[in-house]
Amino acid sequence: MSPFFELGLFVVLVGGFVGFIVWQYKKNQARKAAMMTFIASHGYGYIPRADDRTRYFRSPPFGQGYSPSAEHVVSGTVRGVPFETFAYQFTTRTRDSKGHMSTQTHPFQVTWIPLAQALPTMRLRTDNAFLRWGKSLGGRDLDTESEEFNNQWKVWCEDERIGHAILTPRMIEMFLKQEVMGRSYVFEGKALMTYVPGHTDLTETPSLVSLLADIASLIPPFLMEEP
Amino acid sequence: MELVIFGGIGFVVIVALWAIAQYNALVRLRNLVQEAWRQIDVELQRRHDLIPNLVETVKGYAKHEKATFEEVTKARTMAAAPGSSPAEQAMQENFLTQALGKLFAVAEAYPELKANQNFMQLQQELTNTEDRVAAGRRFYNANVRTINTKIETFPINIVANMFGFTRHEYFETDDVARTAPNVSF
Repeated sequence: MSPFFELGLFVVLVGGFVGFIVWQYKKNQARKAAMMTFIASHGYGYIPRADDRTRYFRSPPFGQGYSPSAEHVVSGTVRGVPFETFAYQFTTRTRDSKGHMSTQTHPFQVTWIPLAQALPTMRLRTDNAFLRWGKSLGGRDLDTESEEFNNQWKVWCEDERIGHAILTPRMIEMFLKQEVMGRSYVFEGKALMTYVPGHTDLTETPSLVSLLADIASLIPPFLMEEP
Repeated sequence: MELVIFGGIGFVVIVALWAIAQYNALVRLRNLVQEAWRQIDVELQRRHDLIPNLVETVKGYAKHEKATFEEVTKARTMAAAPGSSPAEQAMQENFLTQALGKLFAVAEAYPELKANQNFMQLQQELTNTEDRVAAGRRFYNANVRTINTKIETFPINIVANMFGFTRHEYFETDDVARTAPNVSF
């Protein structure tokens, strides 16, 4: 192999790498510019980084891994409902069979709205093979009268009595709608929170907040009364 | 030979431990079902307590609807009688719900009654109480479903039969939202 070929190959590789970095940077800049335009057009508030948000919730994806961070915190109101959405991430380390350490970053987009009264924690996750395996080993799951709902969602609730109170037939119907699927939902304290893996763009935020408000409106009024 | 004896003893011990665990789980579930039923009873009592006030309030405006008042009072007395099984209680609550539906239909004909603060408040309390009953019913039925499934599932049914665990009745009432007329103020 001639030295000129090796040099050419090296230049192409370095050029490709630099090109990739520049492309990534420009893509991020464009995403950020689009986000800022969207925020300004809707009159939302913006905080670049607020790590206190990492302590807002106890339920997963919070409280896992290390170096948690919360960035791009956007807040505002939709249909008079206040909301906040932010990019949350944490990292984990794993060691392979040869003893090599590797670090993984786990990004999530978290969106939440406040509730009038605090509720015991209830988590709803779309069913998957791993959760089914967990249940077969004795994991506790809240089952409702709807077999379709039970097949679609795995529900864990701190207080099952309250869990059954929240899961009215209309609430179950809501959780069987297509637009509700594909996300996880958490009722925790005075908040209703939803999250998805990855950082999504903000264009879906107004419809997502409307969806959360619709879910919150189906909580029976007696649970939202002053204790 | 010793291996067979120790193997046999080990097997018996494992089976005994499993049976104890299943027995304890069934006892825990039975207690949960009973507690859930008591909670429904409390909410039903709250519902029954609201009805005399509601009837009195309607009476103040619609004195001639004697038959409706009597029907509600009779249904309420039957529903409030102690010692009913969940199925009997459900049937009586359904009668009461139907009678209340007629009472609210009467109220529809009296605009002044519909605007009465006390009536509106009583109706709101009744709705809240019925939501509580519905929530209690879902919790109770979920626990009944769990214990009935365990009792009928092999091999737990062996332990259940040995210790006299029996199926529990579901509490199936008509949802008020489906039967009561929509009263708008």
